[in-house]
Amino acid sequence: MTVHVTGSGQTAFGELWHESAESLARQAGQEAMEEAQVKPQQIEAVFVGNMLLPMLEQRAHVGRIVADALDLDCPAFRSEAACASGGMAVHLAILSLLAGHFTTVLVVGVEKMSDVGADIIGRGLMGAGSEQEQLQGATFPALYGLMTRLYQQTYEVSDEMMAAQAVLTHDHAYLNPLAQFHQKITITDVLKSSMVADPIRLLNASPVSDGAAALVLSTRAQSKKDRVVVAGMGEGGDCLDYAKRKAFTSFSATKVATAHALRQAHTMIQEIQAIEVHDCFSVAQVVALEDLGVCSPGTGADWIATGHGRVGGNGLVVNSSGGLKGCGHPVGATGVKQIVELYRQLKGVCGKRQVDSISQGLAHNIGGIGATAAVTILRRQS
Amino acid sequence: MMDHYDISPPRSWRHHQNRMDGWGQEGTLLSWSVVRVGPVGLVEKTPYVVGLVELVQGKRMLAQITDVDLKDLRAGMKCTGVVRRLCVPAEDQLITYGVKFVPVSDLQHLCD
Repeated sequence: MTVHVTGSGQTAFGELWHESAESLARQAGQEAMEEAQVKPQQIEAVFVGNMLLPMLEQRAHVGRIVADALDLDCPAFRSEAACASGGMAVHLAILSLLAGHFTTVLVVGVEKMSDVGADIIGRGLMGAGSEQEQLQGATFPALYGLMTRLYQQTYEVSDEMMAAQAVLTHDHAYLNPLAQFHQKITITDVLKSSMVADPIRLLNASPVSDGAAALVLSTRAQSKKDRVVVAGMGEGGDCLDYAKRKAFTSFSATKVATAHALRQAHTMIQEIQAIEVHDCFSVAQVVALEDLGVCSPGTGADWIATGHGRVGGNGLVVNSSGGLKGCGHPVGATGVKQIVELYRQLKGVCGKRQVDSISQGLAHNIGGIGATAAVTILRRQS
Repeated sequence: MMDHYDISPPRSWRHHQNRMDGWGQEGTLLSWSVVRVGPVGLVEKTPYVVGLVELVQGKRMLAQITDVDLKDLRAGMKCTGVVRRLCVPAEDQLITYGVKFVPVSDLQHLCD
């Protein structure tokens, strides 16, 4: 059985004071259904990726909240896997289709973060870590800060080389009308930005964002040509507590998920033209490139700093959307948005950021500090 | 709205034993980060240091490094586990204790 992506929707990402979680979900969901040319009554279930709504607004039954926003009477499921909530929602939806339980479903990833201050967001996101980390005040920037320092020490990587990641993603976000940031930045800008959790600076970090993204997935093909299908997917897991990991400068969950997805898709990373990787911090993108097999350990930062990964370049394109850093990171929406971006790339509708001659794309979404990983491969069938 | 960080007394009691891991033990600082933007319950404590410590027995744990000048932090620094308050008490005034690490001076280390 084949799962087809038949429609996509995405709101602008940013600090959207006038939008609620419901209004964001409604916009993205309706756009996806219209593109897929399905009526609400043809949607058999909705799968929702969301992390923070119960914590920030004391509201539960999140799947139902989103279904109501879209006037859908069908059953609603919610996936919560921290920043991988969206990717895991897509995977749960695909599993329901492959099981033959449903034939056409809607996936909506949504997060509303900008209503509260950085201290509340910081405490909320820390909920994705271990209890020991929470009690010790290890915010996510702090955990990735520890990791950055270890990575730079181990492989003798400079701050300048790490900063190249932020420059790349802002350049791509500049080309994406839906991105949160449309300002190009320089390595000097990154190195002069304020310190958040040493050695991570503000411009090494993804922002607080509002936004939603949606997909219609179906085992029924929409058309006979230029179909986009799910070629493979994989998931991986690791312990919540970073201190208990076997490795501190790579994520085994990503490696497991990637190996599974590539095997299922009968392909290799070298045969993929665009990847959307989880760059919540500069080091996360660098390590992701290594864990995905694009680069060998210790070379990810140099790979970016030497001009690889760019739209219009000769090889693999990384984060054409602008990634989490440039496009924004509404956590429950991110994993869905990555697949929306790849779907649109495969459909050839990405305008100035269009990747040439693309036939396959890979999305990499992680939650916690690499405790959950979801990797998805899309393919165009002509 | 989550405007303070609450740990109920039973929860604090349940996890008391785990939180005392590292108490009185010596370790080596492997890496650290200085938190400048704090979460609810720790905003008043910024900047504070979160470190990855390897205990003499080989176990690794994540804990705050305290009583240290930021410029003295370095990989390989010897430290020892002490009991400290973990966060600002919430409305119920329950004080949550846990283990943080303090540097061991070179002289003290030699004496040990």
